Formats: sequence, structure tokens, C-alpha cells
Amino acid sequence: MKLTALSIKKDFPRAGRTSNFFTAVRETDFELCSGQMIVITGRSGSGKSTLLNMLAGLLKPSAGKVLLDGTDVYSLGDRALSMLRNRFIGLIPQSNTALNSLTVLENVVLPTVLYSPAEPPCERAQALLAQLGLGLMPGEKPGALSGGELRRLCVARALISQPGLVLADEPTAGLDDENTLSVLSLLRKSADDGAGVLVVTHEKEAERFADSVFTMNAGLLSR
Amino acid sequence: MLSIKTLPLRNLRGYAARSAAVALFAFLTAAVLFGGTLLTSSARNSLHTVQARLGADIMVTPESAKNDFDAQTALIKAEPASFYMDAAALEQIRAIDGVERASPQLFLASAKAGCCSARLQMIAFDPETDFTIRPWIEDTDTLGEMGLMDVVIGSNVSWTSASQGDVIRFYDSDCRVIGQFAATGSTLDSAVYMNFDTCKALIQACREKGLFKYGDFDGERSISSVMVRVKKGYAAEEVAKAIRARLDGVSVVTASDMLLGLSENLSRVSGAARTLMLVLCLLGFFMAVTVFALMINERQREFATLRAMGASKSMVARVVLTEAMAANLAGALAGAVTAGVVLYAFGAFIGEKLNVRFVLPDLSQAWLPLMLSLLAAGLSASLGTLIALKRIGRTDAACALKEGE
Ligand SMILES: Nc1ncnc2c1ncn2[C@@H]1O[C@H](COP(=O)(O)OP(=O)(O)O)[C@@H](O)[C@H]1O
Ligand SMILES: [Mg+2]
Repeated sequence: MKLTALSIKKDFPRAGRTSNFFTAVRETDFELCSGQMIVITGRSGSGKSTLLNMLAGLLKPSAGKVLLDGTDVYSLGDRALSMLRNRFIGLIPQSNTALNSLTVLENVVLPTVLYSPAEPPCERAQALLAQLGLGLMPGEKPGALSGGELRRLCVARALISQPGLVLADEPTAGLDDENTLSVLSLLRKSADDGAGVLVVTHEKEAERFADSVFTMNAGLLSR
Repeated sequence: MLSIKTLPLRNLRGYAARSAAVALFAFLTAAVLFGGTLLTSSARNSLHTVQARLGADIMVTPESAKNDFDAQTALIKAEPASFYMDAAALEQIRAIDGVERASPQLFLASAKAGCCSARLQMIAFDPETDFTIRPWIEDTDTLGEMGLMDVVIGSNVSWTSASQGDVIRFYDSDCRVIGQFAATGSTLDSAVYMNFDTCKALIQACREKGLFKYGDFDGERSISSVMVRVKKGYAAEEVAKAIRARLDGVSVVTASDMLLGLSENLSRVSGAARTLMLVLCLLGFFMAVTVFALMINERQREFATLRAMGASKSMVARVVLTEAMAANLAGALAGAVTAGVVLYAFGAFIGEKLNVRFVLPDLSQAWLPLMLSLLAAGLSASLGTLIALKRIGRTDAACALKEGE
């Protein structure tokens, strides 16, 4: 599985002024392959999340193409693109989000039931939660979780379907050292198991786990 | 088990207060819609029934009865009354241009005393010429032809069961109840109907008890009113004018005058109901939108979460729409049922309080207003949801997912 970005860039219209654009991500190429773990570091506001969202098929680039195994993802309709994301991409969004009416366990397995009537993989979810130190709270509601626990819920949810690609936006934000390590190890393990993993972070620790490290600076991606 | 189909229900339960608010307004809207429609259509039905039952275009009564009988309000509110005039009026009326048929009636009020079952209005018709009461008797289930001392009673009149069958007693004479009319929602429901001979026999019985105090009553020569049907092409008002001009000492009213009170009631009720319905529908609609708007940040993040894990836009829309539909329809159904139960159980009390007479339709005929109120609730739910979804659609998922915790 290979995710390729060809000359993508992202301009946002500047609030107030109509003719002026603000370039969040400057024109860049990018490639993420199976078994590989890439870490992108950079200051806050440098464009890391914007890049990651473009790669995830959630944010259409102002120019350029994103190809998933050769398929131009932004040429697909919403349904096809959504199904593609569900099937191949495990996304850990920057903010902690969960459905408050579902339990922790149900939140974790939710991606697997969207398009499939099959029994959700509760055992796998339970195992993931245990690895992330949440083994005792599968029945809790997300509202009862701390920020760090919620963060780890998002990690488990992204990994539940064993996706070919994992796109993680600051997966260790708000975690203590021990949990940071277990999340990064889990992501490394996914890569070792064959997934392409992209981690966007300003955690220095992450670089130890990476096959290659990029830096984002004011929208410019460099090695 | 968790699935995309059960998600809406889980959300409704997860946000119980929000769901309850939406359902409550659907409840109120549907209750008022259903109750109001039912009440209005019942009042209208009642008007039509009374109109049909009246069967005459003009009613002529003696002017001397003015104190006891006001034709304008007689259908809404009337004390039983007895009054008489000379039967000569009948022939005079028949001779007037535009009169197709004219038939006399005899009235007698029963006494409160123990010799009578209750204080009621007795209305007798002339079997030879009647065109207003007999058609209704024929349409009613009766025990055979109406003979001497047989009566048909209005829907509000009660009878007693005796060995010889159902009876009702006036001046110590038993009358056999051979049938009962369906309700009209007018004073006609409190009357007892009989033929001339029966009425005359009862007047005789009344006299023998010394309770008959109408000096102007002269056996064969007396009648109480003349019911008139006008010929096609003639206006009732014009014919009534002609009768007034020709006859002295009579008061002449048209059917529309008599129904005026009822139709005023109707327009009062339906006006109020319409206003209330409109206000509550709008309120329910704004409520749905507001509840949605209040939760929009939270919802937006939830939707973005779903989108991020690969739910399509239409899938998310379906979840939201199902939620709104379920909450609204459940609330609306409960509201309509409650309104129905209240109306059917306490209809008489409500009618009295509102000063409206109405006859509620069979439950089997209430399904149309029921469907309409459910439809209205469903419609406002989907509309509110669509508006909210449109707002959400303006910010993309990527944005919503970036906002801080
Ligand atoms: N939807 C948007 N509209 C306008 N500007 C945006 C939007 N999203 C991000 N930006 C801007 O783009 C820049 C990069 O943002 P982001 O990719 O979130 O940075 P990072 O994730 O590296 O902190 C920031 O200056 C931010 O203000
Ligand atoms: Mg970011």
C-alpha cells in the first residue's frame, strides 16, 4: 500500500481580505509506503495538520494530487472516498473526539460497523485498550475519561481495523512519558506489521521510532 | 448490538435531555394540531348535522312565545317551552309564493314534577305533511313504525327499562322508546320526538293533572310552529319576508338565522385553534432548530469524528435525520394520542368550558387528522434538521477536528 502526494499545496483565504491567500502548506511531494514509519515535526501552526488532513482525504488540496495505490482520491465521490478512508486509513485526529452516547469499547469498534453488518471485533478492541492502559474502562462513557485516556481511545479506534495506513496527528499530546512510549511502540508495531504510519508531532521522543524524519517549517516540508 | 442503524437510538438515549426537549415540542405541536383539527371538524360536522336535521328553510312561531323561545339561540341553549297559535297560519303560509311545503309541529314541555321522567322538550310532527323529522326516523334504527305513545328520543335523553321495554314517562303516561337519534351537538339532542296524536294525548294528561296553563291552546285548532321548505330558485330570506308581510302575530326565522349561533361558535373555535396551531407549530420548528444550534459544536465534532473514520456525508445525514424523526414522531404520536384521549374522555366538559357544542367523529375517522399532525411533526423535524445540517456542512470535518479539546 502506497500513499503518494504529488505537488500538493494548501491555500486558505485570509479572513477579511478577499484577494489575499495564506499558504498553509507549500507545494510539496510526499510518499508513505507499507512498513514505513515517518515522523513530521514542526512548530505549532507550521501546517502539519493541514498536510495530514489532505493526505487523509479530508481536505482537498488547492493544487496537486493525492494518490492511494494510484487512485486519485479527490477524484472520487464522497461515498467512494469515505469507504476508502474507512477501509484503508486509520486516522487519529488532532483533537480528542468520541461519540458521547457510546461506551469506550463501542467507540473503538465503531469504524468496523459503518459498512459491515459483521459482529464487531470486541476482543481485538479489548486487547488494544489493555495495551494502552485502558483495559479496565471499556464500559465507561467518553465523558468520564481524562484527556489522556481519551487520546488513547482515539489511538485504539484508529488501529482497530488494522488499516494499511495510519495517519496520526499528535497522538501523544497530553500523555505522560509511560503512555507516550506505549502509544509510539504500538504505532511502530503497526509499521512493523506492514502498515504505513505517519506521525505528526512535536515530541522529540518520536524520532527514535521513525524510519525517516521530516520537519515542517512555515508550510515548507524538508528533511 | 452496535451498528450504524442503532446509532440514532443510542444518540437519543445518550442525550436524553436534548431528545426530551425535541419530543416535548413535538408532543405539544401534535396535541394542539390533532386536538384542534378534531375539535374544529367536530364543530363543523355538528353544524352540518344540525342543518340537515333541521330540514326546513324557515320556521314560523307565534310572536307571543318571544319570552319563552328565541329561535336564534334555540339550537344552542333553550329551556323546554310550550306555546301555541292558530292552525289557520298553516294555510296562509302554504298560499304564499315560493313555499314548497309547510308542516305544523306541536311543542310541549314536560314538568319537573315526579310525574315526568325529566324536564324535556317534546316535539310532535304531523305525519301527513312532515318533511323534517320523519326522514331522520327512517334513517334511524327503530322498533317498527311510530304509533300512538311511541317516541324517538334525542341522544342526550335517558330512558328507563321496564317490563314492556324501554319507556319514558310524561304526566304519568308511559311512552315506548322505539329509537334514539345520533348526536347533533345541539339542543335537538335533548328533545323527544312523537306524532301529533301522542302529543295531544300527553297534553290531555297534563291537563288532567292541572299542570297545563296555556289558555291559548284550542285542541284541534292549535299548533306551535310551521316548518317551511322554499321552492328551488327562491331565497329563504325573501320568502320569510313575504310571510312576515302576510301574517300578523308571528315571528319568522330562516334556518341560517337559527344556525348563526352555532356557526359563530364554530368560527370562534376554529379561529382560536388555528392561531394556537400556527403558533405552536412555529414554536416547535424553532425549538428543533434551536436545540440543534445549541448543540452544534458538540455535534459538529461528533460528525467530524464519524467522517474521519470513513462515514459518508449521506450516512451522517441519515443518522441525524433518523434521530430527529424518531424523537419528533414519538413525541407527536404521544401528543396526538393524549389529545385524543382527553377529547374523547372529557369532550363534554371541554365543550361546556369553551361553550362549543361538538360531536366527535368515530375514532375510525380520526386517522386523517392524526396522519396530518404526524406528518406536520415529521416535516418540521426534517426541515429543522436540514437547516442544521446545512450549517454544519459549511465547516469541513478537517476544521472541526482541529478545534481544541
Ligand atoms: N480552515 C482553515 N482556515 C484558515 N486557516 C487555517 C485553516 N486551517 C489551518 N489554518 C492555518 O494554517 C496554518 C497551519 O495550521 P495547522 O496545519 O493546523 O498547523 P499545525 O498542525 O502544524 O499546528 C495555521 O496558521 C492555521 O491558522
Ligand atoms: Mg496540528
